[in-house]
Amino acid sequence: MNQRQSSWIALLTAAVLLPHSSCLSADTASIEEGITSRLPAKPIFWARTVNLAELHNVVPELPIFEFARLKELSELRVRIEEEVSGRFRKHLGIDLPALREGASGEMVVAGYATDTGSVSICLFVETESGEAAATFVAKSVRATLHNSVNSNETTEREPRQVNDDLVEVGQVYFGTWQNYAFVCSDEPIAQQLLSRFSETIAQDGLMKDLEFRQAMRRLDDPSQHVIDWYLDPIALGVAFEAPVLAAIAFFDLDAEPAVPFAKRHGLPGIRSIVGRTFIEDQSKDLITRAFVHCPAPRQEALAMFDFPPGDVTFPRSVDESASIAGVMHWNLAAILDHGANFYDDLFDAPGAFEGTLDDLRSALDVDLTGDLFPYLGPRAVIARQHHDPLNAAVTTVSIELKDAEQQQVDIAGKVSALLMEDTGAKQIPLSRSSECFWRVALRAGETSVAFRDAGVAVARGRLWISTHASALFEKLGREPSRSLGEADVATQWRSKLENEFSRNAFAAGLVQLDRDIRSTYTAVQQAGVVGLRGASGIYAWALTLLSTEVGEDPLPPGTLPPFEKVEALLSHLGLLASVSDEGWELYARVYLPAEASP
Amino acid sequence: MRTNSLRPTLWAAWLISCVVVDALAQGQGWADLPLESIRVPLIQQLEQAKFDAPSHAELDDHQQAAASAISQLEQRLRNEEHGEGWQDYLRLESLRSRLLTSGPAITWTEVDVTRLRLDLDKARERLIRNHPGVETASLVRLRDALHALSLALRLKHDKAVSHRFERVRNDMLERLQSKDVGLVQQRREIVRAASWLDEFGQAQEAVSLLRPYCAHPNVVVRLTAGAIEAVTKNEVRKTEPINRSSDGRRITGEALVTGNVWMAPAAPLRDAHLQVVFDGSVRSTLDGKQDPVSFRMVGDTDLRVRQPILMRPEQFLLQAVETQSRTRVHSERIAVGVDGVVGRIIRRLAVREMQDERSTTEAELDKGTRDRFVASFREDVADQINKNHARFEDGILLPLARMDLQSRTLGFESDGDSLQLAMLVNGGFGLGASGNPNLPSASTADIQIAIHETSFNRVAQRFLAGEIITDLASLARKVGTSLPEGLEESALNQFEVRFADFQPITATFEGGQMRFTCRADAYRVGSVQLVGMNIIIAYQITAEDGNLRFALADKPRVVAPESGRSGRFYVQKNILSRRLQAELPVHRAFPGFQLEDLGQELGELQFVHAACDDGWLQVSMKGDR
Repeated sequence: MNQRQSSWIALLTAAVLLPHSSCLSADTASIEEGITSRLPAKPIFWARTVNLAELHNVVPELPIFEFARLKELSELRVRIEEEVSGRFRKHLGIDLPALREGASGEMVVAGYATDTGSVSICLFVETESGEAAATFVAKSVRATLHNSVNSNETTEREPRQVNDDLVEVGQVYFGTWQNYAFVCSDEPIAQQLLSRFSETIAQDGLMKDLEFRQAMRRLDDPSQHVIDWYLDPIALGVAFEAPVLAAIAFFDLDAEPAVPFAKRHGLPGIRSIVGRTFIEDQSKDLITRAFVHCPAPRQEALAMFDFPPGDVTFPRSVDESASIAGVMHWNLAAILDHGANFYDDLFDAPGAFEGTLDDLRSALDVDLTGDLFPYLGPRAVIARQHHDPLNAAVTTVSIELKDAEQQQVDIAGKVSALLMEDTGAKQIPLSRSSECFWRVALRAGETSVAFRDAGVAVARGRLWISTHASALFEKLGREPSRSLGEADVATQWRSKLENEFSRNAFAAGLVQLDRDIRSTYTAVQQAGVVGLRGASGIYAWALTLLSTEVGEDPLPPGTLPPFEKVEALLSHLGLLASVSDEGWELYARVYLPAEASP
Repeated sequence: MRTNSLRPTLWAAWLISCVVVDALAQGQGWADLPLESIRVPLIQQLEQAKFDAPSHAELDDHQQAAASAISQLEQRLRNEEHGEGWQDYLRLESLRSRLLTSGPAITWTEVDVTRLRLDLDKARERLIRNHPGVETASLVRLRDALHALSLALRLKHDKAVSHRFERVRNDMLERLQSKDVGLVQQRREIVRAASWLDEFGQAQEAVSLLRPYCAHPNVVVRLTAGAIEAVTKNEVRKTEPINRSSDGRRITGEALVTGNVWMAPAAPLRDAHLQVVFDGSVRSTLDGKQDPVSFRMVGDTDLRVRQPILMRPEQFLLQAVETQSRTRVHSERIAVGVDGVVGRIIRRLAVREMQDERSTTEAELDKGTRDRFVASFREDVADQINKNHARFEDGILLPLARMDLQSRTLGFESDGDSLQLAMLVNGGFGLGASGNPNLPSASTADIQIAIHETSFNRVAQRFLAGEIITDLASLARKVGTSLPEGLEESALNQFEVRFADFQPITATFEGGQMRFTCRADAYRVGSVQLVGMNIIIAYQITAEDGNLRFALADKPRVVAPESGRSGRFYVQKNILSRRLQAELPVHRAFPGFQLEDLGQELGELQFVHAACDDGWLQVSMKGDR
């Protein structure tokens, strides 16, 4: 699967969620009645929105889209829409205005493996009638041709009638079936679809695919669906590596027809990932439920993720001012036990993991499996908060130590041994000998340093890692102020996730978007994206990347409305992850903070 | 004389052996360096040395020089057939405008400097290609000017260089002051450090103290007398008409030249390196008539001619010919055109007269034959030697000059048993060997090649410093060669290396092993990005059954860079070392090969000896003729 194809998926999702004013309405159809029942089994991925037109009515009511509809942002909105439309035309052969006009009912996108192992993307749009479907196709073909003329492509594109039901323009295949229009990026797949459509009763189709049926059965929420999706991650992984395999086969005729992805120890135990995003009728909260189907007993690499369920409430060490907080239970011993093969496979370097452990033992006198990891507790806590003196978002991870009173001195010694000769690390002397504090450089890529002055410490019965050493130093030096767990936001968060707590939760999190983006937002509001140059953090990184792509500042100073105006529209996100014999489930709820909700 | 008999394929042999040098990589080397005698002044000089950065005025001068080199070149190219192509290729216009619009150096910002350096380096890279024309004086002048300006910019603005200077100098001082200074490894590191100082024009007094001891040739190619003779030896058989008159006698006839001609190394202490030798005889058949007597005389001249040749890189000079000859004359037939007694008397008189004149005749014939032969021999030799010098230039001197590896010293030597070409391949900077290779006896081999590790280091520094190499094939292209068949598609091509600026690869030839240390700022192995680490690979080298064998001496080692280990060193070290273990060939044998052209006379060349010690890699080959 290439970059172009993966960007299609992103764009499809964006298109589904794009707000606009169309007001068509249609009856909600069940999955069995729709096009899905005619599709072949074993898709690499599949996604469906039940009623595209209705979705366009409901989604814009979400607060986050109210934000997008602010009049200050209208110019930007138009630009984004133009950009997205252009890409749809260029890469998918879909004319968005035609889609809005013509769609009436469900829209399905599915990916199948082609003969060469890569992914073919197929899009199915339900329209009111066979005629409407034909019109939609005609408009899309025109848009594609128009696009190729405008972009001065050297190769001339002419629509080619492949057969009665299929037209090709620039390797995109357009066809219709009953009141459905479809677009596909691979001819054999398109032909296969046509022949399936012509059968009176679909044989061995997707609805008879056991894994798919079981996955669908898990999505039982009756509310307003935004999107349902299904993914075979292993097939996707193989498709990603298909070009590499093709290259290997091309160069080395004697090479075993090996599938590198299959070597990733144990990962193929993942059967499928299925998800549904919907709007809860009563609260209008946006909820996403995703399920990774991976039945127990899980082997090898997957056993690393057999996280033990446990208490996922926020500990006292998480400050009330945290904008992001998360708690996770893990099993470091299991990770070490099962990580070796996975690590060696991933880097295609057999023995590397054991070699590393040996090196640490012999060169640094640190035995990770004996000295360090067994004393790291099962609960890791992550918190992120804005630090005013630094004017930066500081992220801190802390891990409780087992038997801290006895072990802390030893563990501080081991951590120091690990960092001792690291050129990017510098020890900060502490008065208490049972503790240690190190300033380290955290790298993002191989060359860029994400956080030059990050901090690592063993203190107060925990191992601490922070993106900013000075903030961590300060935190360790003072008594914790009021904790997040005691604040109102946590009460609301707990009530919002309450029904899910009964499951075997192993991780939970809260993101307060209003708090988290405040400083970045204000910086951009005042100085544009250019104002973020040199700033660290995920938002700064993403926005800078975007502006590099666009080639100009997408949000020049003054474009955004003042923060106070939008604050109330920024949601909170509650996250919960749980584990069962069947696999892992992720639950995410986007809701408005209590004081702002109507 | 067949002219092609004097067409030695010496240079072809040389060229091919240089290819062998490319493909491959005991005696005196480091052990010879008399460090003790200069240690104290060297320490003093180093202690006093300060980082020498150019002033703004000097930068301006360099800028002027570069601009003037460009306009001179442009002027010259204007009238040339391919002038426009060269202008485009070298992007002279944009380079000139960049240099002209940069203003005085004092006004440059950091961005200006970075851009200018990028442009200069790009243009300079285009001037380092084995492409005919690159060696022309005006292009070389431009290349040197761009190099000087780029270097000056680095010295002035690149903090890393001044830091490196401090490190290099301190490291040198530490080694010089240590009690282990006598160890070969210490000497080796001292010379490596001095080479860096030389490249960056720093601590020049200190470098000049070392230079007399470490500027010996680092590539030596030796052809033995046997090989030269085998390649060049040719049988000669040729007749020439004779038509002359002497004392009123008309003499006609022919001279038949038979013998062998070959080349041989000149004996030492003679003002020559090579000699062309003719060893054979000339049979002159002379028919004369002085009425009424007609006669036929036959003269046999034994002739040995040596044409010594003095070989200088710029010209091969013919020296005075040395000849040895001896002629014997006997009369085969005397006829008198008068019958009877008178005829008999005349015949007797004629015989007596001819006997009386025999010694004169022999002397005359000897001289005549010799002179005639030498005149034509010299002409032939001169013609061939000129051609061979042109081949030497085209095949060795020009490619080195184009690749900016021109040898600081290059010379021929001869000891009677062999002829050797010794070069200091360093591209005009850096030091070389501190002694000569102790090649095994010439009688056991035809061709011997010795490469000192410094030549390898300089070539690596010239071509790899700071470079990103994405696969082996592009690495090979970079040094102007191509990969041996089969290696092109190897898994090693999944490696991407961003070489370090300082000593990207250093070679150590010691104890029978070639050990390479590769320094990189980053690696990519397959899809995995890795931090900078040093790789140490050692191959044991031997000659066995005519093959040159490389055997991985030990598992490849990965160590932290000299600057210290980064946080992810231990996490990533084993990935790199395991991948290298899996993919580096454990054994590799290069079979013997046959030279082309007249080199075929040597037969299939077999590797008969290989050694790796004291800085030198030596390979001897012998043909199975």
